[in-house]
Amino acid sequence: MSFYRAAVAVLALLFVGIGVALLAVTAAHGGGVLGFLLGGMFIALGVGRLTLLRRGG
Amino acid sequence: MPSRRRRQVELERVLGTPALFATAYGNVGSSIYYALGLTAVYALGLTPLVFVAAGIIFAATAATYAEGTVRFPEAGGSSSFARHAFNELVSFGAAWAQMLVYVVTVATSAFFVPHYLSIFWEPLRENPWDVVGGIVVIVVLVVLNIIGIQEAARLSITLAVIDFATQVLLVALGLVLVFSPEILVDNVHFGVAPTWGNLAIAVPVAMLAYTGVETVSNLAEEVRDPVKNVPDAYKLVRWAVFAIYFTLPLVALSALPVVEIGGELTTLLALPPEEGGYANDPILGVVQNLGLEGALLEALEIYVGLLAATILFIATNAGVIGASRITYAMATYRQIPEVFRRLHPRFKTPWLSIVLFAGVAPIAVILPGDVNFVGTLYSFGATLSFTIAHASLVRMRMTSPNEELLYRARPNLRVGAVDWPLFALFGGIATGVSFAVIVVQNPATRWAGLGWIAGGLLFYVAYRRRFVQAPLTETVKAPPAYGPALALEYRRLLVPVLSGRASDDALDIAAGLAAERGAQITAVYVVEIPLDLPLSADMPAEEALANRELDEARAIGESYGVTVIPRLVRARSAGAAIVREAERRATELIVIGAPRKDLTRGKRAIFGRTVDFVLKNASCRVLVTALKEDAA
Repeated sequence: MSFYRAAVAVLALLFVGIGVALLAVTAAHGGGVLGFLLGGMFIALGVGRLTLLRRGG
Repeated sequence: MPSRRRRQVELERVLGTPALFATAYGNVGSSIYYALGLTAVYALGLTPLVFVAAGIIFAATAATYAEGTVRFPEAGGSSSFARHAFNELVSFGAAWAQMLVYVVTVATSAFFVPHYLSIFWEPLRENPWDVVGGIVVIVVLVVLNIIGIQEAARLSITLAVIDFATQVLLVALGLVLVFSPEILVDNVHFGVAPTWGNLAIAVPVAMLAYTGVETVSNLAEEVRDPVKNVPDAYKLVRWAVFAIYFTLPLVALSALPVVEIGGELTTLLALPPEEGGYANDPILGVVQNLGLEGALLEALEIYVGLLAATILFIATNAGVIGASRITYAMATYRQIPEVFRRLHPRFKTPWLSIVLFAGVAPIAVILPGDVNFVGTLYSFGATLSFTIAHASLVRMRMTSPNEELLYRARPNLRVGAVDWPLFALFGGIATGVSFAVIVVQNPATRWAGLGWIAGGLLFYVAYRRRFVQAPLTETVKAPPAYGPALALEYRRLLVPVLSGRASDDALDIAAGLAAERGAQITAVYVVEIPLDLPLSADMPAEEALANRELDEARAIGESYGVTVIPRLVRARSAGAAIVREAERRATELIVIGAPRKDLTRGKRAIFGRTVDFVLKNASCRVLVTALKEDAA
């Protein structure tokens, strides 16, 4: 795996991790639209990039 | 022989994607240490959203720089793009704006070093000691750069990685300890805190956080495979900065919320230290408000303070190098007098440009001790420079719509014959509007910035009319600034590389010549792409072979003590690519190895097709070497 692909994978996973953390913390605080929205967007970005990477992008 | 050399020398692809990415992130990632506070002054509770808006503009700008740099892999960034798209006058405007950016980058980074060192001595957080500390940093770096220190690439890369890891750690700690969606919502008071006017100016100021986008462009001449390495590095930087810049402000505004202080809605991030705020050291402010206590807090403060000061010191140095490089490039194109690229007789560095543009000018900028002025002045220069870069890219797509590009950034929209670059159109409009906002909204910056541009243009007109005696729009390149025996002093050599003994032999001869004269060699391996494939097509086997041969070339150079810049070029025809690369690098001598051919009735050429083409078309001297063993 090239450096570029490995780095993209790591950064995409970081996005997913941040998203999960945002969702978890928001839930722990009793919810909130902003927290869930941000968490969902970070996860979507990370998963989207990983999917593109798997397709060779 | 070559394989023995390969074992002797430790090979490294110095400027591949990893090194480019680390260098660029080292620059861009350093900006958060001052941009967070400067942006919060204007954006208050909307700071996270403003960073997202500025980040989208940054993404468009990075795409423009990626395509432009692959198209013209030479130092200069927007100035170089403008030269090819418009003319020398526009190129000067871009270069002069970029110079302002470097001056302010040096000033800002140096000014914030003492703020983060205040963990050891409190007065360094405020005037006048931060000004004194900033001046000391600038003077030290100017002296070191005149003496000619070598930037330790490995150290810079290591620090960039540590910096990124630390920023991720702070985000993780912040998300767990202080992140609060309710506070972030409560922070926003539309139209009041921030006011609409301040919100408008906050976006261009937040672009300060993305200082360093041109770093990759400025290193383009030394990149091994620009078509792959440059876009990959830009894409990675984009993701890395988004990961931090879209999250750290969320943590910061959760830890330091907008509250009423002295009858005004504000955040401690936006207040100066004398009012108990953290505008001068925002990341330390975040650390101190994470809810940590005792020895852990103290250790984290010292760690973050020292790391930030070190990163900012290196960013200041990058600014000093950038200022001297752009000055050198401008003098080479006769935009400013020759004296600015004259080298110091002993240290061989452009001392005058370093003293003036990396020393005197940044010191003048930080003397008032006003961080907000410094921030908006940066935005003035950056938005102008970026707007010219975007406009240049759009114009190049318009004027040569059928040119086969090595790399085409996305997204695009095909209308008629032109593939319109939507990223550049969006980026150009966004940076243009940001520039207008800065000019309209901020009187001090307006007059200082416009004064800088007007003064530069007046000087340019006078210099070109009186001394160069050439039209303002004409590109005039100064001859290489070497000694009196110019004709026979080969300082820039180019060796086309292929597998085989003929090529190694040519490189041996070139390295011998270069070693005698302290010259530099560019080793060029041309990967010929068949007509039925795009120029950017993946050719794994050929690329692997090219990289092996270029490593070999570096090893041969090192065995002679000569610097060899490896360059992989993709083209349809090797001969044309070699001639073009030689012209672009102002090469004085091409040393090309050639197997001898038997002159039979059917073969009229002595050498191969490529060598013949180079001999016929190169605008510099060509030395053809043929192996002794091949003699009849």
